[in-house]
Amino acid sequence: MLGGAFGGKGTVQLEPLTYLASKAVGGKLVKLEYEREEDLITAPCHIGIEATIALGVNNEGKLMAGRYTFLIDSGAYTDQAAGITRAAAIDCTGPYEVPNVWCDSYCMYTNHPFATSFRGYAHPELTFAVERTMDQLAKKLNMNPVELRKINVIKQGASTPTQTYLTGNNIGDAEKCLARAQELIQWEDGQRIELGNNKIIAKGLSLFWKTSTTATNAQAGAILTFESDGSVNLNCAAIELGQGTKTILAQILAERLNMDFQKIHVTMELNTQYDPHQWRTVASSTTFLAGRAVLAAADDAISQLKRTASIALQCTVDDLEVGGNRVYLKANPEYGVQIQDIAMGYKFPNGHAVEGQVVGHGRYIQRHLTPMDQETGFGKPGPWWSVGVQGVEVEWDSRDCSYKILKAVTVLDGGTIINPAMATQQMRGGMYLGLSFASSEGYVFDEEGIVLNPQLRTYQMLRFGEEPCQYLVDFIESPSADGPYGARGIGEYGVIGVPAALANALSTAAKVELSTLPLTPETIWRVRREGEI
Amino acid sequence: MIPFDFAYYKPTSIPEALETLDTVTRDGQKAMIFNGGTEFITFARMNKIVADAVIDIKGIPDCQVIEIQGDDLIIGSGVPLNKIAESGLFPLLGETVKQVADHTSRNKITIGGNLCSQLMYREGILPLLLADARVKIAGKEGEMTLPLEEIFNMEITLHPNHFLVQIIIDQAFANCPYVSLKKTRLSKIGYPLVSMAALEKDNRIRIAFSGLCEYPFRSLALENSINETNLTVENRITKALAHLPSSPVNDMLGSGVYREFLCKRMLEEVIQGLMGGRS
Repeated sequence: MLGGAFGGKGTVQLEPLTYLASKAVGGKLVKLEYEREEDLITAPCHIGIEATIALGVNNEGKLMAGRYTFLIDSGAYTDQAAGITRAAAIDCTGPYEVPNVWCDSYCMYTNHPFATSFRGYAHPELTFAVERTMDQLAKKLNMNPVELRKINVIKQGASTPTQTYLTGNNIGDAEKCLARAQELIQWEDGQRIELGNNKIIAKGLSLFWKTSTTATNAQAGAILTFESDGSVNLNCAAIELGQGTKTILAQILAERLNMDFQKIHVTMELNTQYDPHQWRTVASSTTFLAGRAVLAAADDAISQLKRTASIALQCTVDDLEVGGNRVYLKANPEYGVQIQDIAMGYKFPNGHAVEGQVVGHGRYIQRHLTPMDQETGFGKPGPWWSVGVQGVEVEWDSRDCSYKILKAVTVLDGGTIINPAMATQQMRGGMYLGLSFASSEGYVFDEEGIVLNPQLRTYQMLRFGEEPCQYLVDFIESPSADGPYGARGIGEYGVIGVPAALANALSTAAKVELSTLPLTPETIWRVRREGEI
Repeated sequence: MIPFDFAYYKPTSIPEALETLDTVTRDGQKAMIFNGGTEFITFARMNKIVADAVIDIKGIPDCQVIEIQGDDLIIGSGVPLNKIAESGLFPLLGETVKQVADHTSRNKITIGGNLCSQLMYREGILPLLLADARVKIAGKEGEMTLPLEEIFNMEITLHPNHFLVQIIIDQAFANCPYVSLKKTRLSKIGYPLVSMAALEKDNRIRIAFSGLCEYPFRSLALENSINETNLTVENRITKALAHLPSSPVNDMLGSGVYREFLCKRMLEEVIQGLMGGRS
């Protein structure tokens, strides 16, 4: 399965309309379909943003103060844009230590189509603004852009803009990500290389972070039942969108039960009537929340299995271990019982039966999260920060300002990576998404705010064949004590730093400061022309 | 979804097609010639085209011809763009039409459909303007062969009960040195900001443009400037641009100023490519 919702399904818009339609005809089955044009202008879309950033440094290049102003274009209604506005403020500095911070983040009504969540939830947008500013600051200080990042990168022992204290557990290692990204993009070989024949190779980097701002009481649940052949059914309300969450949860369960992965059956369909409650499948929080719930359910099932086994084996629970589809004596592993013989209870040779079926249940709820203080904005909005570095290498044509994307690099620290192949693919998909909207996408409005390009013919996305010639992905794994097997969240991150990295690369190539998206050849040409006039 | 009902006819000969056209329109109904159908479907869906009947001419053998006959290359109006490109019979035309839409669409889009497109690009016409092509039209009066210029001025205009059967190109043009260029907003696939086709015949450069102005064109005055070999390349181009039939298009794909800039760059490339910059 592949695909995703990228935030667009984090809201409801079709659903209430369909409900009302069905209600109007006495509950009959109805179908609501948007034509492409309707979908583009009626259904919610991706926010717009205007950002102003001022940074102050001392002579050594250490950031002393930052002032951030974000205007978020929410369109005609507020949906997730309000939450996005808040998220922008929470992480406004980017992954840097800034002792003095002032941030104003405004959710603005405009006469545009209304916006909802888009992968990254304010972070691709704020990262674009912050990282363009950092590159320009580096130029002013006559410093290599990487040097400026190294001096200021946030580490354990520091605190975030909202004063959340950072430990080894709740933030990844951005410095290691930076070093590895430099290697992958061959930064030391030069950031701007003239090839002759009007072609220029240029590289751009960006540093980024994100926490997931779930509800303070966000939680997940999991229920396990067993089949008579000893296989396990995993019931959890995490939604499979193509991100592979069901596979991850099955892996976690198989690991904890020390059981063959093939013996785990995950229910794909969900029904809120009988599935355990899951906050939502958004915010890169599912592996973390649902993973912990699955572990709790597994431990619950294990204790029930041991109890039944202790009766069958006539020993104490503490002497037993679970593994290889059996429950056995730690001291003498050959002495044990098959899970299939106890999962539904144990029947003695004389016919007596005890204990009954194992039903494992588990839950996990966020710990110690708080809303932002009304006066100061301080609070603990999320359980951890994942961090990363992304880089883009372009080949730019100085004659017509057109360009080709050669390399896109991601190095992410999201804690333990449970499924490296899927995680790598998720990063690639995120990079493509970010490169598409940074290079090509955007509504075109006329003077009355009417969308002139509500079709895929005219709202242009990056096509197959236009993706980077090379995707390079690596992970730094700084485990989290809270996450399942040390995992934090990684789902959204592939998109976050890429627009900034592309803009940094093209700014380096064209020797102008590019601060608007999308980055078409004409927009680059205009900025260069304005500089020459 | 196409929000109206319409009749579909697929004649297998020119007389049958003409008769169908006649019968349908006699009752005051509106009939459209249908080839690949990509444009009809796209516009009908958006209520920008309405028709009571479509007459699909792909079933007429004359419209499917693509072969050399004597000194001429004959291409039926119903031949899909990909087939023209793959044939290699007129490389400049092949290169030019390969730039239209995307590969899958080009399996359906025909040369006739592209020439008669309601959109302003009609890029397939550029090599035909350069090659002094002729067209074969079918009407009640019989089949007529005319110079392309006679039915083309910014767009193709045909009598409502006539249709385009074939395009005839003198073989001498098919193998001239040529340059085919297209610049877009960003992606290779998409409408052109500027599309240029050029060839060299008898030591003279011929050029035609699409996307730059609101219609495809070839201007002799502009060509003369490009061929003034006693001037520098830069001066030739400046002189040429003074002969644009109208100001460059300014739309959401690109501004007029940027189009003009691209045009200059592309003209340099054409001059370099065809005459090697020799003066």
